[in-house]
Amino acid sequence: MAQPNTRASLIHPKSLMAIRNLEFRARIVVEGFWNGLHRSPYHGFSVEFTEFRQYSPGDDLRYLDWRVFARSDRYYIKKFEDETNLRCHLIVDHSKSMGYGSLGYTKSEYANTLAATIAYFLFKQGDAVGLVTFDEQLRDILPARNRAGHLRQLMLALDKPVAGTATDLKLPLTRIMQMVRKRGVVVLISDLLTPLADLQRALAELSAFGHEAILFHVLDPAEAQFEFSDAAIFEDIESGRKLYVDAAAARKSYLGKLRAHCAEARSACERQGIGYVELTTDRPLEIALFDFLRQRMERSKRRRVTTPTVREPARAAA
Amino acid sequence: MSFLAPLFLLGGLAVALPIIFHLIRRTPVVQRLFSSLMFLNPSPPQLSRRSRLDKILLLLLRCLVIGLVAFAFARPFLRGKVPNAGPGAAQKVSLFLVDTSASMRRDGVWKDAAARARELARQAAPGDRAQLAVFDRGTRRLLSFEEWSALQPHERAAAVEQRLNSVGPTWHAGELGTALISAGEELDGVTEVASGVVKEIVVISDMQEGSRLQNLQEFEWPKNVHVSFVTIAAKNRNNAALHPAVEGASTNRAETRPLVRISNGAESKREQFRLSWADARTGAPVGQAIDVQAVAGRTRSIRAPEQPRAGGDMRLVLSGDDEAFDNSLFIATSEAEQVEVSFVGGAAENDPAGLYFYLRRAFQETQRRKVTLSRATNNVSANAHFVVATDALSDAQSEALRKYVEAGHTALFVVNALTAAKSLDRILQRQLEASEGVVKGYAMIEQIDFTHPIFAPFAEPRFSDFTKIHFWKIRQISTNGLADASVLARFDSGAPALLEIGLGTGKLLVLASGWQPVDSQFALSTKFVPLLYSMLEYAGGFTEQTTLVTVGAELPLKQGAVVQRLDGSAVPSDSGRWIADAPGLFKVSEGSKSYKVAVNLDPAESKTGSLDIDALRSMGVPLQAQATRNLDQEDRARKTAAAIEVESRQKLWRWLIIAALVFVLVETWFAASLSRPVLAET
Repeated sequence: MAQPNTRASLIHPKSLMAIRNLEFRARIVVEGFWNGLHRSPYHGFSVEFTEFRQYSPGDDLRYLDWRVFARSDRYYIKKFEDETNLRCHLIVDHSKSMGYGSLGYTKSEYANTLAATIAYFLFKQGDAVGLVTFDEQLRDILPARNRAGHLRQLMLALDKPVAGTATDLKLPLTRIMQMVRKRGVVVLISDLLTPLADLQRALAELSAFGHEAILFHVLDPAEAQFEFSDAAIFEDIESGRKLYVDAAAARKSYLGKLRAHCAEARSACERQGIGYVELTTDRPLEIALFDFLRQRMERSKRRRVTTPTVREPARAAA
Repeated sequence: MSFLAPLFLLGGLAVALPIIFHLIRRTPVVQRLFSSLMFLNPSPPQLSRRSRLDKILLLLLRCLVIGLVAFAFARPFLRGKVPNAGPGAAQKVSLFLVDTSASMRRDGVWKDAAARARELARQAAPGDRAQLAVFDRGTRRLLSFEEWSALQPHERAAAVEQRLNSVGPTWHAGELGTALISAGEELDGVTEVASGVVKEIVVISDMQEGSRLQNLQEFEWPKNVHVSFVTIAAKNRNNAALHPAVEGASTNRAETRPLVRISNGAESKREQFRLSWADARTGAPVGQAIDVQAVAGRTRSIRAPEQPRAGGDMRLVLSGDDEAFDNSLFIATSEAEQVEVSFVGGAAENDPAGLYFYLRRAFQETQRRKVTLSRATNNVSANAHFVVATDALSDAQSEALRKYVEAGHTALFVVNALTAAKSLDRILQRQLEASEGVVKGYAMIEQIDFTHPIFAPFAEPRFSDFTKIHFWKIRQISTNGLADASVLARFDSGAPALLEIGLGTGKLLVLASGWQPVDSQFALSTKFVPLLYSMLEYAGGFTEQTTLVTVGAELPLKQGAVVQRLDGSAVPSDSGRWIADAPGLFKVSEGSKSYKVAVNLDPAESKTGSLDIDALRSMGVPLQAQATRNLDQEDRARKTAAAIEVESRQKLWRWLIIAALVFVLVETWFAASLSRPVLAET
């Protein structure tokens, strides 16, 4: 339950973003993460969740785990690997507000890298990864697969430029729920710069479907801190609306509103048991990835408390 | 501190430029793209002074440089050291000659002239001597050299103005030539007390075209006298004038539409005028006005409109121009004179061989006079102005004629035959030697006494040729024993042709030949009628009354004649003459007879175009280098010259430019030092 031990091993996002290829970026992060993982005290940790359940009459005997039977003299059913594989859907916000960035790269690039990293990580584990990009409407929809070439397609879809002039969070979530009947993991990456009334309802539905969800709230440090001092005309990147704002005077109220907004998002997530991670784009992606894994671990712990199951040794560590 | 070129100080306004640039640099319109405005409230711009002008020192340096350059270009100098041209200058003797002719009555001209004269007097050095005179038809002295010298220098200007205001412009025509000559002579007569004295005539005038200069040509200018002109420009250029078409002519009752001349000034902008009749005394318009077109610089003669009420005292008024002084034309109407001539003799009325036939045709009625020719039988009316007698007269007739002449009248006796000579004897009560003259071919008149009033009108060479009149028959009348007889003309044979014999207080004219075809071709001659009229005039039958004159004209008056204005007030006149000094209608009463005289402005005064100064130079007037003096300009030029000299000595502009260069260097260094850390940052 701690952060990766050495700061030095982390790659600064600015350096990372200097690499143009998204896949390569993801690989670097993931491989670096793994390298760190080997040294980390959480050796043996696995995202792969394998489900065992007690044999009940009528179950196909093909799935009986004979080794467990040999050890414990009890019948346990082991699901097919394919079935048990994680279905992860990445929902990435591609609205124009994601095109903002004060560090030399945009939130969108950061979010894409994050999505690519997670996708790469999961793909390497053999999990199926799908992708939904959206703005005010749905853009690219890739169903969750684990095929050769799928990752490349996914990267290409991610690499598309931001275009939308609004953000509709409800739309992709509804689509996921229609599309994916099996429970899976839904990773939502967005700056959430939109009213949250719909989000709460969508998250509730998502949760009700049994999906495991995690929300990455990506913010630029300039948005988070609002450290402008001079007066200027602020232009909305999405709508083009212009507003004369004296930054020094407006900062307090801005931060207040932003915090309230973030708190609302957090509470909406927490109410539904959904992980909420606030990310500023200057945070190393490894940490973001770690956050993702930790969220999942916490969730699996909770689940273990509620539904005790036989735990399969971690595969990922291997 | 004064400036040679103060306009360059306006260049100092360029300091606004660096200030503007500093302001522009400081107030950028920052437009910041931001992801979302959902957390932002609009806040009104708050201007803070500090953010407006930055780098004040740099700005001040730049402003200072521009200011210094502008200041240097304005060529400043210190006024205290301008040398005063006053003392040390040569003494001046000036004669200020102010025009008071009628054209000075134009709007504002006289006031301007008086102000200029005052200014000249004020500028005169305390040691200068000056005289003030005005001129129109003659020159009048207003302030003599002695009076000038007696006045304190500071009182002189006021005195000049006061004297000028006491006279004002007159109605006379300006005799500029005469005035210049008299002024030149006056100045020439001034004895110089010191060497190098400048003598100057300063003419303050409107210098109108009509000023008369003719006399100047013959005048030899004194060597040390100079003339300068101060020209007073009239405010209004639009001037048209109204004058009689024929000078000296009068109109009678029959002529109700007199011919008038309308001259429009060369500089006039208007061409449309109105001509109407008006009451002579009040000037109130009477009747309809007519429109008159007159091109600028041209004169046109037109018939005036019909006079609305005959016999009244009227004047013609021209309206539509800016100057009213020459817009009235007074016209005197006079009645035809009644002249009675008696004929005593036997010639039949319609007999072309007789004298009467020609006499009757000679005395035609004219517009001016009506001659009534009557035949006297025995008695000669004492009312007759002139009597013509011929033929053999009866005793009664001779006696009557003698009495008539002795009463102071004049009669003409034509000796058309030797028998008539006998009648002459009876008239003169004296025996005259008379015989038929010997004529070879024809006789001519010669040895005419042109000094006699009868022949005076023929004195000019073109009229004096009487040789065309041929006489076939003449009578030789001896003048022996006639003490008070004079021969006015003789025949080429030496015999008297026309005799004047004093009889009592009257005169008897004796013509030694007749004008009927048997005697001569005199009746056919062009001299016949004029000579008869001349005799009639000599007889006092009528007087050639002048009824239309211009201002300044001298009219001879008979003993006891009185001149009155229309309102009945008497006009002062002295010793048998009257000088008309204002336009208007005047009534001249001579005993029982009276007539009206219309006095109008001299047409020359209406020529208000400007006089060519070069014409004066060609007449030998010693003009100063500057043709016309502009006092203000002169004064300014003198001051400017002095200022240029002082400035060139002080040369403050050099130091200012050097200072500006130093500040430019400082500014450069300062700006560089300001921008250096900025460069290091980036």
